[in-house]
Amino acid sequence: MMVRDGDTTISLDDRAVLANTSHAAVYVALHAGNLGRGVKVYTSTLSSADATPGLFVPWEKAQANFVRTSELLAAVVVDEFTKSNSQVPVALFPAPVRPLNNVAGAALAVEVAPLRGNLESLTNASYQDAVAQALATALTTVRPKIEAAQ
Amino acid sequence: MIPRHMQIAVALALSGIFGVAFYMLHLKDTAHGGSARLSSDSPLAPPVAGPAVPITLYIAYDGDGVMRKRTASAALPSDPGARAREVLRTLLGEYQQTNSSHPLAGGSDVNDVFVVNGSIAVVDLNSAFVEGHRSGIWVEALTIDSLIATLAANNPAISQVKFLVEGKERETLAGHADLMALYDVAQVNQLVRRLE
Repeated sequence: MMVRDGDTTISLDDRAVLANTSHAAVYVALHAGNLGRGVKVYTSTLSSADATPGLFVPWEKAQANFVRTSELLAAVVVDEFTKSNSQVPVALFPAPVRPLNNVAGAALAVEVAPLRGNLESLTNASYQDAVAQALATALTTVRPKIEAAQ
Repeated sequence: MIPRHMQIAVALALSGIFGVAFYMLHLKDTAHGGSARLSSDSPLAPPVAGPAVPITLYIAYDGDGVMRKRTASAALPSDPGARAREVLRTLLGEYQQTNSSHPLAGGSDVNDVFVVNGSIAVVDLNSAFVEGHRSGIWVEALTIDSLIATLAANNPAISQVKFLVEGKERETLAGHADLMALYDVAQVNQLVRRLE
């Protein structure tokens, strides 16, 4: 499902609520950025040590129970960009991106920056297709692995 | 015919009203002048006097997407919070220079830094800092990491950092980076080492 499909404002908390109440297997926050080159994939800065056992978990640490599956998801996405021969540079970092910490499920953020420093490349159809294709393939690949891990 | 004593009473009352009105206008002008001085960009406290000492800055480089350690010098007060503020102001000074490697908006400043229990730094940013900050995950994360790594490099006892804006909590720096979180210095330093 799309959290939003137009230029509407949905609070960051509400985005996490939508993902959690719909029991999404995977949450991907897709952003465009103008700094750097290629695609950056971000996971939550929480670690497994932050995980809280039990039925009720703190809102700000909801992601902690899913750190491993998020890392698995991120690794598959990076791998897909690398092997897809799309010539899109890709890097993986933990980053404090809202609302990743609030999502109870595998979650990551993807920031798409210009391909070779020129901002116009962000609107280039073949670049967008390459990113979408790599993401879609990665999600298809990772789904059974995440379900098995859960 | 109005009696003479009534004329005198009305004249006294009118002069009293005008007198009070003029006095109130004077008070209003004085108060307005005071608040204008408070809201100006000029520093409220005199610069720190004393010999400059070496400090460590972690400078973000947008172009290369890296963080580099650099030594600078600044006169530092003895209070840990005031020291931390001066260190961060030196860092912000670097970012507000022409040809900065990671430009921040003019007027970006740190109002205060409070060091709680010797290990938690609460950094109060001014509104110009966040309102003029560029939006994007990477650019916002670089700012946060640079501030935290610089703070910790100059006070190794700091293990956690919390950000406020004008004394209040704010959801994100410029739409992406979390400002509600209590940042763990060890985690940030781990990432900064990858970026060096």
